[in-house]
Amino acid sequence: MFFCTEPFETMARIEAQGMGLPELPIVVVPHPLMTRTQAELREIAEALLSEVVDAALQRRGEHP
Amino acid sequence: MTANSESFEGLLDAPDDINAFNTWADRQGWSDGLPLIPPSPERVARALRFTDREPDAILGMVPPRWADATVEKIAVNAVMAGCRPEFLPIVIAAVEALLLPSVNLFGQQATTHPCTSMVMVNGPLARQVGIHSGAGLFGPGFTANACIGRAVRLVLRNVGGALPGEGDRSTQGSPAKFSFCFAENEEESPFPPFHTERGFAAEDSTVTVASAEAPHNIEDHVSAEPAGLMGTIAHSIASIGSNNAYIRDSDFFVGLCPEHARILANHGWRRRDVQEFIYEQARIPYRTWRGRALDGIVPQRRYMEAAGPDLMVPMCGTLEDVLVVVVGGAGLHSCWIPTWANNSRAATHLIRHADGRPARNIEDFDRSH
Repeated sequence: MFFCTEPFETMARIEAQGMGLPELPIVVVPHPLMTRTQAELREIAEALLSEVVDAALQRRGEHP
Repeated sequence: MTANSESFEGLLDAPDDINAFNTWADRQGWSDGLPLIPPSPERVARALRFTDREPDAILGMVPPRWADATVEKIAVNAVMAGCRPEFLPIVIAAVEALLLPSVNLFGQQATTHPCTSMVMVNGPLARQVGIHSGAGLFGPGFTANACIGRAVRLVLRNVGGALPGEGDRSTQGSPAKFSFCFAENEEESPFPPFHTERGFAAEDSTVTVASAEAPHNIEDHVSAEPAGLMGTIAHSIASIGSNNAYIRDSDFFVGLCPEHARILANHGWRRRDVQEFIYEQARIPYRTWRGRALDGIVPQRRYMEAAGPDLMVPMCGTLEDVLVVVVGGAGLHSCWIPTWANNSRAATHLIRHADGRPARNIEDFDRSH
């Protein structure tokens, strides 16, 4: 599983493809992170939780 | 018109007209924004006659796409960059050096930092192919410097996938990402050639590559003695916004102009004295250093907190991390070249023949006779 923020998704997919891992689960996080408050970060993390669990279990869930 | 030579990856149909070719090549995503020379089979074959490597020999995989860098692909990109055939052995050596794990090319390509692939050439081959080391060496105006540096960048783009916004995530980019190649001014340097400090013979030729920023100017028209001059240089290098201020395990370059170097040498200073002075004096107070830039992102040594706000934090881990070269022509402008520094170090690599012999004369590569 791999995490990145939105602007880095294309690069992550290029590299996953190049490394022979086109199916690597990539969890895309809103950008930016550095300027967010703790509360905002928690909200982002909670919204992504089910997607992260699915990615960790190699499941394909329905995520927005 | 075809865009590859006859053998390995197949030929592509491309327009013959140079303007139409460039419009087409731009759509393929091959260009750095400047016009390209069409890599016709004839041009690529002419370039390949200046190497004793086989066209399908693989130098390694270029990140982040991790595609194979074959000698033929490097020749195609060298042709597109405008290289003369005799530049090819230098381009091949530079790509080989960039693929050494210690350079961390993946990080260099993918980072948001504006670093690029610096290529410095030492030894007789630099002079033989005309890599400029004197006045205005960082450009513009010198064919070998411009085209060799550009060829390396096109390999990183077209083989490695370093397209801005995709495989190259640099926030602002850099003019140095077009081309950053030069030679050390060995003739006017009072110090031994840089590559001899890295374990090579003076008659060897080498490329030194690094994940480097463009040069930063250091002017001193007044100091006539080492203490003043070196104070100016150290003060300029102690720069809080540089990665080198935070990442201890890294190196960076100091590019002394010949006149500054001569002031130092006339007072008995050797390269090592310059390194020692910069290591000792180019420092930032911990009170300024903490709580900003990369603090907390890179590991912070506990001793810093223990030592307190007056601790002076060096720009590198040891004095050997200060890489001193002599570059440029008349005048009193030196420079320093900061680096990306994240698990990335400069590498000096021999320019050699396919069998490993050091290349001593560029004509020895020529197989066209």
